[in-house]
Amino acid sequence: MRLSEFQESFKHTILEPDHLDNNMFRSTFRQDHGICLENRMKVYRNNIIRSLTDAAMAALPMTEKLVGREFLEQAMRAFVVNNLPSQGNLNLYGMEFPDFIRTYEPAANLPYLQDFTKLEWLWEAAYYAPDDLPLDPAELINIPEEDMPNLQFSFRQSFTQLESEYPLDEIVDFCRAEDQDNLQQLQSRGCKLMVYRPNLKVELRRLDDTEYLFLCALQDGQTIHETAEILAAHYPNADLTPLLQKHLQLGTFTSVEIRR
Amino acid sequence: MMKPYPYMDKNAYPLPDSPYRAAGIGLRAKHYEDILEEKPDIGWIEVHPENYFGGGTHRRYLAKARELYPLSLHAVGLSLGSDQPVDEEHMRQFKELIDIFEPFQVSDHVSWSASGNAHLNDLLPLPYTKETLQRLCDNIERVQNYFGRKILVENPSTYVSFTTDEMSEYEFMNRIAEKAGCDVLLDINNIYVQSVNHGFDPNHYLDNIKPEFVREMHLAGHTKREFEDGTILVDTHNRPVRDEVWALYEHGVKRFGAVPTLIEWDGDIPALSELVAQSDKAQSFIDKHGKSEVLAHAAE
Repeated sequence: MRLSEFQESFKHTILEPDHLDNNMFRSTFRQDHGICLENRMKVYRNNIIRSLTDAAMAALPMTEKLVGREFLEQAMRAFVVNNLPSQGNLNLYGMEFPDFIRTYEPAANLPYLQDFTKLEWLWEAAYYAPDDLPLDPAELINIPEEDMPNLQFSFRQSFTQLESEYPLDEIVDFCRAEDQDNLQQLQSRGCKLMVYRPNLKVELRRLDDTEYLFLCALQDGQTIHETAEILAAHYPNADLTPLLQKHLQLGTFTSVEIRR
Repeated sequence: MMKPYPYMDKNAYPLPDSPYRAAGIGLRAKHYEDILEEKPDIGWIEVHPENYFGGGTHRRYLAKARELYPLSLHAVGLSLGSDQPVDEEHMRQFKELIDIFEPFQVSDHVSWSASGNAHLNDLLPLPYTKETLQRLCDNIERVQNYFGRKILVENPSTYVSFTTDEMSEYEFMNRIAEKAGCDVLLDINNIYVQSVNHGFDPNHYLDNIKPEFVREMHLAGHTKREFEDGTILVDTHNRPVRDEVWALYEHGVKRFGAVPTLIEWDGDIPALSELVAQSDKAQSFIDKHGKSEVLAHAAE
């Protein structure tokens, strides 16, 4: 048996143990010492499924707290068997799990899980995002007044926003709390959040409707002037200046340029 | 030319000719803060490069640790034994880390993980045939050319063996080193685990590996997995090195000298002090049986 056929057959056996019944493949293994071949192959199958399950679950510590290790592990194993990684870099392996959990029958009565696991994955992605430096607010001082409306901001590479119809922020608080008896008191409201990594640690911040729209517009590449118009159309009393100051202080942006 | 990584002071690196302990430990995320604070007396640190691809917080911690210790990049994802070329993007990201962190050792395994578009995330066994030898050496040469340096390849832990083998594993390891011009990283625990799983004399294995190829050794704990028809030893890296493996290591130090030796611990990770104690124990065998010449290799 050629090496390529052997490796292809080995892969099939990991996913479908019955493949070991293939006589040609089976005959490549020595079977004259101790443990039977089926049990030996179980070690590999277990190593592979477990290591991938552990790798993907490592990004979901709060989900694990929420639904329990056993439930999440079972769901993740089902995900792994149908979604083997395509590369040896597993840092973001499992990012498609939120889509999987939406269709996973045993989680049908946990509708918030898709959004909550997505939030945890954004958190993980921010952890691995390339390093960049925050925009120094002093850079704005030298920009002529007439250019201010034409400013465009670039965001930190770790920055993402998320809108959900579930109170994900309260679920995060619950998962982090010492006393975990309060989940029943969750408000039935949605939330808007931003995730980013200002330095070594990832941060999660709640956004109100105005702030969320402000950041969406800037992230879409709108200038300050265009963003102000979008805000005014939706929230006539909104004031852009304090929002801009706040995010300059938070280090949300990494650079600024003037659109000519 | 690549931009310098701004979060690390290369002037702070340990000098290649400074006094050097041969025993090192694997650095895992759980110990980032501890190692920077406690600065334990160990020779070097090892990490899996795949965990540092792309950047981010892990890489920042590694930069700080690198200012304190020499570094080995020990890969698990090149899949050198696959019947397909090593993934170009994987090599690119690995090379980026080599350029930033200037490791004294770069290594991966005599195994495969990738088949087609699937990466099976385990160090899977290879039949020891001339065809496998050729594929493996082609991939090692490709990697060495890309990195512009020699790498080491590690003997695997296996739970199956093959009727199609055309040579023993130790012969296979020697021939890889000869043919591909790489070095051998000898995992002592893997030899022991296999000797039980496949029924051979581990000392005979050690005695037949050519000493001139061995430039690093590994030590780790293993676990017994019971089945209805017997027990298999599994290379789990989740417990202290067993006495039988220490005995085999002592034999290895006598034969191969004071080569860099790593304590690997990847699951149920204990306090840093326990890892350091295991490293001290390895160092005591080195002090007893061999003189260190280790960083001379790094400076080559």
